[in-house]
Amino acid sequence: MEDSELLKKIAKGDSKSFAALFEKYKSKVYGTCYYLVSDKALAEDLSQETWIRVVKSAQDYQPIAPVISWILRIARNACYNELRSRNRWVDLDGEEEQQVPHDQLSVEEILGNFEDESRLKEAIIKLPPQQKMALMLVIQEEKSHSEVAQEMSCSVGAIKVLLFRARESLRRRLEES
Amino acid sequence: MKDIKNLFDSTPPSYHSQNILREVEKLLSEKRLQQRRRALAWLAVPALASFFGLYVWRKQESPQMDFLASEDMLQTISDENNMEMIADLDLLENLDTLEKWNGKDETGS
Repeated sequence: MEDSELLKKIAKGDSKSFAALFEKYKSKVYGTCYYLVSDKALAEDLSQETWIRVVKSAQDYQPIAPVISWILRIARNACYNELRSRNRWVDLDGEEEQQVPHDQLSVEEILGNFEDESRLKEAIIKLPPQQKMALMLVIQEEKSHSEVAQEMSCSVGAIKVLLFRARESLRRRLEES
Repeated sequence: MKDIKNLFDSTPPSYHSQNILREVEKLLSEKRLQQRRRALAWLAVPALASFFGLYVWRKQESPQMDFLASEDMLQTISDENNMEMIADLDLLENLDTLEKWNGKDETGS
């Protein structure tokens, strides 16, 4: 059954459809929360909050984007709100945009030719939340820089800076370890 | 690079999954209840419409029915009057007969 059909049934209170959708995407939702907040207990709370929101607003889903993108957006928003409330989210200022060094980094350019996935994941989780959010949108959702900028409510230049810094941090950390 | 899109996937602990399923089930049962209420409301609409239609029809038909009823009543009344008249006539006829008999006696015929 397609995800949108599952959501329609969830909107009517179908438990089996929810179980199917949950089983399919629980790792993505929990992983998104965990990588953004870098705290397992908090990630559990935010993951639960995400699924409850999915059920509550299942009838509002518009099929303009895939269901998983819609769910992950809910998860990212929950994390963003939590990080802001804990003062762990710092908005980019205008000066940073002036330091844009590259046009558009590809995923391969950012991550490099990593061999050890667990080492890469450890390095990613230590990045600042804004850089992780930008990385997620580029890698997980395959979004362009302008789409990432739109979702993160900042300029394309700011996204380029974030991704450039993420690449530099990852390289440094992977070389150190 | 393989499965790069799944780089951020992470399996949640099983107790956490059970918690979510339990919490969400409460919401889903509420949704099912709402669905049933909506379905009942939709069933009530035609029933109410039928009652309303019946009421309107009854309202439109009632003057005629009242008229028919009054006509019946008139007929009954007139029937009752006729019966009374018949009874009176019978009484008169009896009186006449009695008077005739009385007359006969008085005259001695």
